[in-house]
Amino acid sequence: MSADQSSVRVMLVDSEPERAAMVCEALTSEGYQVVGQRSSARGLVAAVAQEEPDLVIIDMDSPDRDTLESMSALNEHAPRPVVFFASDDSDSQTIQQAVNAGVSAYIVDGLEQHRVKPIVDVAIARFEAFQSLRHQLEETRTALEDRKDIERAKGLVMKQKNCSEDEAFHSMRKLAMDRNQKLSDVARQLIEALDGGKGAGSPETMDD
Amino acid sequence: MTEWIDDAEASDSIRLGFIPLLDAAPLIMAVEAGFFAEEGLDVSLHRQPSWSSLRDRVGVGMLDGAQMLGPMALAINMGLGAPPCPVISPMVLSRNGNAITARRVLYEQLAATGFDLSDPSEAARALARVVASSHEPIRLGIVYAWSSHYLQLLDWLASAGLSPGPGLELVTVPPPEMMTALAYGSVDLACVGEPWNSLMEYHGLGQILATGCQVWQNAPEKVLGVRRDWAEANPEKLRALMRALIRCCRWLDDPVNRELIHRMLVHPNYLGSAIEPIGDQGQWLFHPRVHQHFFRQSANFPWLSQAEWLLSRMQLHTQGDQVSGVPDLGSIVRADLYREVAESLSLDAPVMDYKDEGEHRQPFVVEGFRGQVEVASDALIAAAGRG
Repeated sequence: MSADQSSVRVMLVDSEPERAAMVCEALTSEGYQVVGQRSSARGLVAAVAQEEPDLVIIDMDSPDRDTLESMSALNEHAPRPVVFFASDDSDSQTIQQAVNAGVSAYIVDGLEQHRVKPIVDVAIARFEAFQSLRHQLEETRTALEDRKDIERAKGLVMKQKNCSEDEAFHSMRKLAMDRNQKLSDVARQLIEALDGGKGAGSPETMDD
Repeated sequence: MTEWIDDAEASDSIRLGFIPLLDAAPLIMAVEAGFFAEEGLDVSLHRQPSWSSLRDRVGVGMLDGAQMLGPMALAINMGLGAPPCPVISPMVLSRNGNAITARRVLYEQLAATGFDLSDPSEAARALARVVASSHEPIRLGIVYAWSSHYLQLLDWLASAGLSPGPGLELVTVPPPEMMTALAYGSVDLACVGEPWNSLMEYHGLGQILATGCQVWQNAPEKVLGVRRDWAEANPEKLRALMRALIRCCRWLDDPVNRELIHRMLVHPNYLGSAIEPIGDQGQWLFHPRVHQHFFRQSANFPWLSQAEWLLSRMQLHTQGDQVSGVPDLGSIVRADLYREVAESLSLDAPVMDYKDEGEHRQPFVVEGFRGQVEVASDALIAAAGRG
């Protein structure tokens, strides 16, 4: 099986270098040959001629997909879009998954369908993993920002009401519950109202 | 745009895809000027990075429908380049909108041949002359093979007996990169949709040599394509969607609204600041030579004869080997549905589905169900040796 896989040459076109590295690593560890990793399809015609990949995997958000598809309509040796004919339920599910994950694939010269699917599956898995990593990162970032805003609003309320930290926090929480809003949103409104004219990073308010 | 709303969230809203071109205006302005809202519709627009991705997202149902290229509405049903997805196309969203822009240096060479460049066939003959005497190949930039602009380009070349080959190389370039490609000379001629031709002229990179309208007069450019299963599950929504779009198209054709259209399209969610220079301070938004329009002269009516014509061009040109099994056009191009919706808006529409394509050099009238309806001219450029 691994001899079979090592004969399959895959080219990756992805504007996200980290994601491309993840896909590359996963494919390599499965025994496939990754023969080129590019961030755009510019010069792809020449690269395909030189590297002779069997399959090109390209990220769906790349504007270069149209370039690639046109190549295949205009030039018989250019990659042709992989079409998993929906004769098989698992194939149409793969297409759905691939589009959801943002993976598209093109075969260059007659690689058999049954050899394409496992490669596309690897790419889908890595794209999905990358997506959930990015989600986590965003969530962490939002959580951090929320906390910063809440702290800052608390400081402003303490100064305004001349009250303790606990009291300030409780009054903010009450406000959030009364308005049926998130604490972080209330914090941002308070900052806007109490400190509207000042820039976000003014040293006076960053002290607490 | 990469962010996708959750399915649960999307349950009630209609998800439509668009490509950031001037003729995305019907969808964008139907949202921004409130035409969808007036019909009680909640529509979310999703900008797509490529036609391929737009097609695939409609194909798997991440989008309910989209602004589609005329040939795409047929190709997607036939499973060309992707698994087939039943889509219906009940109205045209825009007519004309493409042009062929020559790099300045090339334009001067073409002008020096003495041919009358204002005539499209003569302009093509001028190109043939330059190709014959040039040591370097002339590079033709196109955006996407399954499009009207590409088919128009081939017909334009054929009018002078030209076709792509060693002296005339085809290069595919995404639209936003076309301007750079023309500036640096990696393409000599750019065949692309608006606003890119206007922008290339504005920045002094080239000059429009021929327009799509000179090749196929008033051809359907972008059409509404919606998934058949969505259309069947949401018959009332589909009709409301079409009503909003027809009313928006009529509004778009009114020059009074140009400034507002420009102000909306320039928003980063839509076409972005690249289009700032056009449509502003005395500059036109819709280039007078391109004749892009949205409503007048029955622009929205989906002629079956035009779908047949598109299909015949797809079969004739390079895609011929892939185009087999002629689909039942009447079940895709729903002129019947258009008439029904037009009636509900007290608008007239042609009673017939077919007209003699290429036979009308001037606007003409046909029978409507209320009276007579004006239809735009539809002359076609002649191939070399023909007429």
